Amino acid sequence: MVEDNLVELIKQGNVKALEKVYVTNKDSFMFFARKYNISNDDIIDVYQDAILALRDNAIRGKIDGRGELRTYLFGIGKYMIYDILKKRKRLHLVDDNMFFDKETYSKPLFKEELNTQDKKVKKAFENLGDKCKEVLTLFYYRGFTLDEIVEHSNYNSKDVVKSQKSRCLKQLREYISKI
Amino acid sequence: MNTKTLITQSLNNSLSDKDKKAFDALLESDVEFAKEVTFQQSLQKVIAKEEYATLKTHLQSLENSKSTTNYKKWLVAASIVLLVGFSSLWFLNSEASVSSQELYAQNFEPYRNVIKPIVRGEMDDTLETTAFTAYETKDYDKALILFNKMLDENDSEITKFYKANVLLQLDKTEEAIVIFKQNTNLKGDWKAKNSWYLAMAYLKADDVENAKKQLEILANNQNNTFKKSTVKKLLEKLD
Repeated sequence: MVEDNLVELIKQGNVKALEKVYVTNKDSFMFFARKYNISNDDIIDVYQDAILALRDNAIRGKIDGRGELRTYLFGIGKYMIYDILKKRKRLHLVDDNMFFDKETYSKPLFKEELNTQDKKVKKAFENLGDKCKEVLTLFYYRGFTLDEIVEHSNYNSKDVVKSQKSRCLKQLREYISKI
Repeated sequence: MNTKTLITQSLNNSLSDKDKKAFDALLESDVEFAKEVTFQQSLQKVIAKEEYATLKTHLQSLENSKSTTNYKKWLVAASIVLLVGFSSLWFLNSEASVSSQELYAQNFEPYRNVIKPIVRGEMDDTLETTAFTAYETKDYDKALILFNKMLDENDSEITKFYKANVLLQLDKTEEAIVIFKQNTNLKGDWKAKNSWYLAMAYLKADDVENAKKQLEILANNQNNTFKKSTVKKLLEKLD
């Protein structure tokens, strides 16, 4: 199926596929979201976050076999709109857990708060060179295996990736200990 | 299954029920294991946020370039209508439709090296000198590697500012935008320079709206002297 392909491409980090989903569904999302009382700019902002939440969920294996991509996208978007309305006190809800209910839509990682330890890791990560960032991103976020990293990048072998990854991790831990 | 694989699979949400039990048991009983899990979860979260920042910028410029394209289409249509009746207006319209890419090309030059002026005959071989020599001689690929090394040793927003200039030269506009945006602790003149180059990066990405926002911040800052008249002229052209 074409849609499965798109999800697969998005998982692999293909930005063009993400743009395609973005452009294809934008008009109908705008139309759908207009019934809520929020501005156009806010709708666009929500739509972008919903697209990125879709990507995050796809990458972390939380989207397989969940039916149509569009339904999923609109579902996440709707929760995000509720969230805005709730913050503006236009919507009163008893239970916060209604948002990103684990059984239906999982909260994207990028929306999580950072604790003190996370902030140290963030600062240290920002200091790494691009190569380290890339290898750690592929392994720890995108869920690539070492073999897949070899396929995806310029490394010659699994062993090279493995030692690069442990070097980068070591450097990261050193930075953290200095913060 | 070894503990490493258990953690990796837990990050990808791909643990089988049986392995999930083993994972939970270890989490309870093994302090070192629990520490490692926390660390890797933290790293995953941080990377997710980094990816989000880069791609959000990407989608924003996609959005803004789309709306400017629409705007340009209207402008072209309007020009044609005007041409029929008032051919004399053609000149004005063509001048108004200078693209943001052209404005970028007209206004952008990488910020000069004021950190480590390269003086013939007085070269040392420190990392800083080699990095800025590569920068001055327009060897941007090399400069990027060396600036990254400098940043590995010392996290400096000024070094990041130069790195972002290099990224612009290498057409890695979105990465440059992320850096300029994150550079929030610069003071005085450096702060103004950072805003100017962020505006340039937005122009390069066809994101006229955000480019204007940055230029307006510069124009409204009374204390700013950096590129003052250029900022004003550019804003007029973008209006």
